[in-house]
This record gives sequence, C-alpha cells and structure tokens, in this order.
Amino acid sequence: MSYADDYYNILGVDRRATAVDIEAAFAVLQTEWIVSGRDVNNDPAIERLRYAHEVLSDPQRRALYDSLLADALPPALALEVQCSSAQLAILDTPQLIYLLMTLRPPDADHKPLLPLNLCLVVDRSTSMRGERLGQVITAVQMVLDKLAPSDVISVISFSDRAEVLLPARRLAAQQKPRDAISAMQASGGTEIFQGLAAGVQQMRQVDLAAYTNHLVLLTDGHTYGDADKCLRLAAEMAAAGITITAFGLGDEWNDDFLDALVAPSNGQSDYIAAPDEIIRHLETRIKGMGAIYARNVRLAQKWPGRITLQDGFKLTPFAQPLDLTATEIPLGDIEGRAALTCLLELSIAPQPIATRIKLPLTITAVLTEQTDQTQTLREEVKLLVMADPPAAEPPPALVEAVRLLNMYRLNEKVWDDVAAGELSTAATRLRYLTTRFLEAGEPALARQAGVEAQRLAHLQTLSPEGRKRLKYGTRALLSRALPPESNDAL
Amino acid sequence: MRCEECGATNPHGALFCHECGSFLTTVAAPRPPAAPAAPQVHIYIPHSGRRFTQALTETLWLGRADPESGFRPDLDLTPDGGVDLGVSRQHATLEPTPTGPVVVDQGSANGAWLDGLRLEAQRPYPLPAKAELRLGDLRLHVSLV
Repeated sequence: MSYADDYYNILGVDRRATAVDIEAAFAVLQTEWIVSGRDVNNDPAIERLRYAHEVLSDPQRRALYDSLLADALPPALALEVQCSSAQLAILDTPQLIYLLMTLRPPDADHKPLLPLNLCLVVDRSTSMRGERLGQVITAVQMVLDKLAPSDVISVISFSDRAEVLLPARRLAAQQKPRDAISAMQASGGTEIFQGLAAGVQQMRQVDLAAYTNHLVLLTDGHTYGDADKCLRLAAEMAAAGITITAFGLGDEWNDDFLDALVAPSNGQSDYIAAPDEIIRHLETRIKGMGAIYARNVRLAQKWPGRITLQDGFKLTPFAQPLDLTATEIPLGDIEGRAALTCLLELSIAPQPIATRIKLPLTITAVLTEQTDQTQTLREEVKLLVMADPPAAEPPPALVEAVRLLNMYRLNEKVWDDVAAGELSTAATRLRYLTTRFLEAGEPALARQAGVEAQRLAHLQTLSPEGRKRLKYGTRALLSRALPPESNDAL
Repeated sequence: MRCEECGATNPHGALFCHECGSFLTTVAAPRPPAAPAAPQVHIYIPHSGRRFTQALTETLWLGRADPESGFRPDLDLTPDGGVDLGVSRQHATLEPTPTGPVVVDQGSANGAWLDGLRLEAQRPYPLPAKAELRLGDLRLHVSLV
C-alpha cells in the first residue's frame, strides 16, 4: 500500500480526522465531481472515493484499516544486531555472549513535528552562591535563545522549597523571561523533590502527547531525606512520557541517586566538574532534545529459559547504564539522525548439543514524525550449540565496546571494594585500571587513577572528586567506542 | 577461561578479564593493533636539543654511563645534563613485548613519569605512540613509528 492511494489521501484529510471531518470532506469532493459534469456512476476514481468514505466512516473498519496502514508505512527505524559469537560451545558452566544493537533512523532529512515542552529545574541552595549560580543564569538564558517560539518552557528554582520563575508557556508568550531568571538568589537547603514536583506540575499545563517532554535538573548537593519520593515521581514521569536529564555540579552530590533518577526514562546523568562547563553541557543536551525523531524507545525482555541479561549499556547518543529491572527496558530517545546503540551482555546456562536458541529482540518506539505512531521492530538472533565451534573473530566495534564497558565496571568495582573495606584489592584494581587507561590513550584518566591509588595507600580512602571524574570519564569513553558517524549526525 | 595477566577465571565467551580488564580471546588482540616487528623509537631531548633514533628489537636502556662498573646504557643521558637533573645510571628501559612496547622504571632514585603519571618501579607500562617520559627532572619526547 503506498501513501498516494491511502484512503485518507483520497479524501484529503489527515489521520486524526474526526467522523465529521470525513463526512465534510466526502461531501465536498462528491459535489465537485457532480459539478464537473463527469460520469458519477462509471468512473473508477469515484468508486475509490466512495469506497474510501465507506471504510473511514465505519469506526470498526477504520480501526482495522489504520492497523494495516501502520504495517505498510515505509520502514522508519532500522534495527541491526551484531553478536560476539553465533556458535556456542558445549560447556558445563555458563557462557557469555554480547549483542551490539543499533537502531538507525532513516537518512532523509526530517523535522520533528512535536515542539518541545522543556522544564529547567535549578538548585539555588546556599552552596550555589557565587560563580555557580552566575553560570547557571547565563546557561538558562542561552537555552531561551536556542528554543523555537512554539516550544514551551518553564523554569523552576528550588532550595527547601520551589519557586516558579517562568510558568509553562510558549516561548513567544513569555513576558520578560530574562529578568525573571536573573532574579534568582542562592539560599536554603537542597530538597530535590520540591523542584521536581513543581516542574512536573508546570509541564502538565500542556497536553503532554502533543510535545516532546523533557525535564533538566541541575543540582550541586545531596537531597535532604526525600530521595525515595523523588524516585517514585521519576517513574511516574517516565510513564507519562517525560524524560529526565540530571546534571551534578561539583563533587558534593550523590551520583547513584542521579543515575537512579534518570533510569526510568533512560535520560542522561552527567558530571559537571566546574561552573564554566555548565553552558556547554546544557547546550549539547538541548541540541539533542530539539531533534527527537523517536521517543520512549523500549526493549522487551523476553529471554528464553536459562538465559539472563546480565548487563546493558546505552552507548549513543550518550553513554548511560540501562535499567534491567523493567520488563520493558527504557532506551530513551532517538535524537536527530544519530543512531541509538546498546550493548547487552547475556549469560547462557549449559545447553545440550545442537540446541538452537532464538533470542527475540522486540523494540517499540514512538515516532514523533508520524502523528505519534508506535513502531515495533523485531529481530531474532539465532545461536547454535556445537561440540567444537569454529574460532570466529567478533566484530571490532563490538569488541571495542565490551573493552570500554569492562573498564567502566572495573572502576565501579574499585569503589565497591573500598566500601567493603577491601583496600588492597581496590589498590590492585586501580593499578590495572591505570594500565587500561594508558592503553586506551587516556593519560588524564590514568593520572587520576594513579592519584587515587596513592590516596588509597596513604589515607585509606578515595576522593569524591576522583570517584566522579573516573566514573563519568570512563562512561564518556563508551560513547566513543563506535565510529563517529553515529555520533555527529544531529 | 583463565586470564594470563592476573590469573582470574572468566566465563567462556568473555572478551576481557572481569578482574583486570585485559583482553582474553586467543584471537588477535584488538588493541594495540598488531605491533610491527620492530618499531623505531625516536627520542627528542628538549633540554639539550639532541635527537636519538633506534629500532626497538631488544631492551633499550636509558641512564648514564658508569666507567667504574663499565655499564653503558643504549642512550647515555650524561651529555644532556643527566647528572644535574637526577637521572640514575640504570634509570629505565624501553622493551618490545608481544602486545607492544612498554616502559619500565628500573628502580631509579628520582623516579620516572609517563605523561605525568609516576611509574611504579619494575612494572611495565604500555608505551603510547607519542608520550612524554620524565626521568628525574629530564624530559624526553618519545615517539614510536
């Protein structure tokens, strides 16, 4: 079925047309035919028009037709899967396989139909005083410059209570937005829930389905006793189609908490080491959000028995761990023409010889271009268990991604070791990590790991700054695992 | 699957050791790309302006000649201000290995730094294609071709 002879096109209405729209369009077209003096009984074109009207004016037939149309649409997203090894050995112990999954939007230029509903939630607690708040104000004003007049923006500042600096309105309808933002002053504690709740309330002032919805949180401190409430709200927001990005500024914030906060929507959590980096981070993020091609991308977890997903990481458009606890793993958004890639690590329990294993990969995505229609992609990875599998070299991009993921996990283990009091294990691991960073051509990370190893030897502890630099530094490496084409296409 | 570097046991199919991060498979290592049989080492010493080039076919000693014991390093740093800048006689070595060249601090008195990272004595560190190596206070620009 092609677009040209789709019944909606024949009637000249769009797919959201109501019954009244359809009747009106049909009446107009039919009258035109009669007026034009053409034979209304024997022309195949009028037959088609009548048939189109007949189908679309019957709700049941229309629903069936809509579902057929959805299947016949040109392929929007393409899914490609690379596997570390399609042949498995017979073993009495579990074995690992890796999948590198790439979701690619079409090459053609497209403009997202949905405007942005953006809420900036900014920490203005006492610790933000001075350069930090100054840079934040400049950064928020920069965001205003980047938005389209039809985008909806709201700005919240919070300490132990929240204030609405800009209520949710189209940019064109905001009055003196810059003045409202520069009036921000630092004082009070940090209660992130206050800021989030006020932010969501503003975002809900518009019809969420008609927008790409994004909340950006910027904080520099530990939240005060409301972490659980925040996480519950984050899950509700994800369900309502709101993606969260969380930036931690300086060293006094809880990285595990911010990771958990963005997990339900698979937004980005990142570390901003110095105030003068705020603008760059925010700018990059806004650029991605302004070009969302598909949102709410999800991977269904339907693994056959004796197979478990052990780890998963999104590599592009930005590196972020995946929330594996959900039955449908959120993968976030597809930004512009950049591919979304994920690395999965699966453990396969011992299997009898000649077993054929099918790993179903089912991905759903909401395409913003086609009146918010859901696309489902299905791919199957076939594995065969054999006595003596031939030695095959895994795809280089996959190997590189696994190598970097391994480095990230090695770094996480260092901090787990320290938390468990295993200082000598942690020190050994830091030494290994130093070597890995040097191999990867990352002298700055190697130096940081070296500094932390010395700190561990002398002070029996690691620094919060080092923790964040190493964690987010290694994480950022992951998105570099792939050839640049998938990264720079925004 | 046993890791050759740290001895940890890894599940079959793992590509990198979960304990130390080194590459596990017997298939060709992905990185560093198969090092050419004998890379050329170029060393430039900004302090004296001297340049030194040699194929890295075997261990290359960096230090100062010692007439008493008769020790003579492959690159004698005495004319480059080695004594004043704290270079030991047997300061460091550059060595070819199957996975690529490495640098080792041979227990020098004043230490060795690779791109600002202090090397632990007697431990091999992979040598990047371009790096700054500091022996005591003497800086060497090392590049591999």
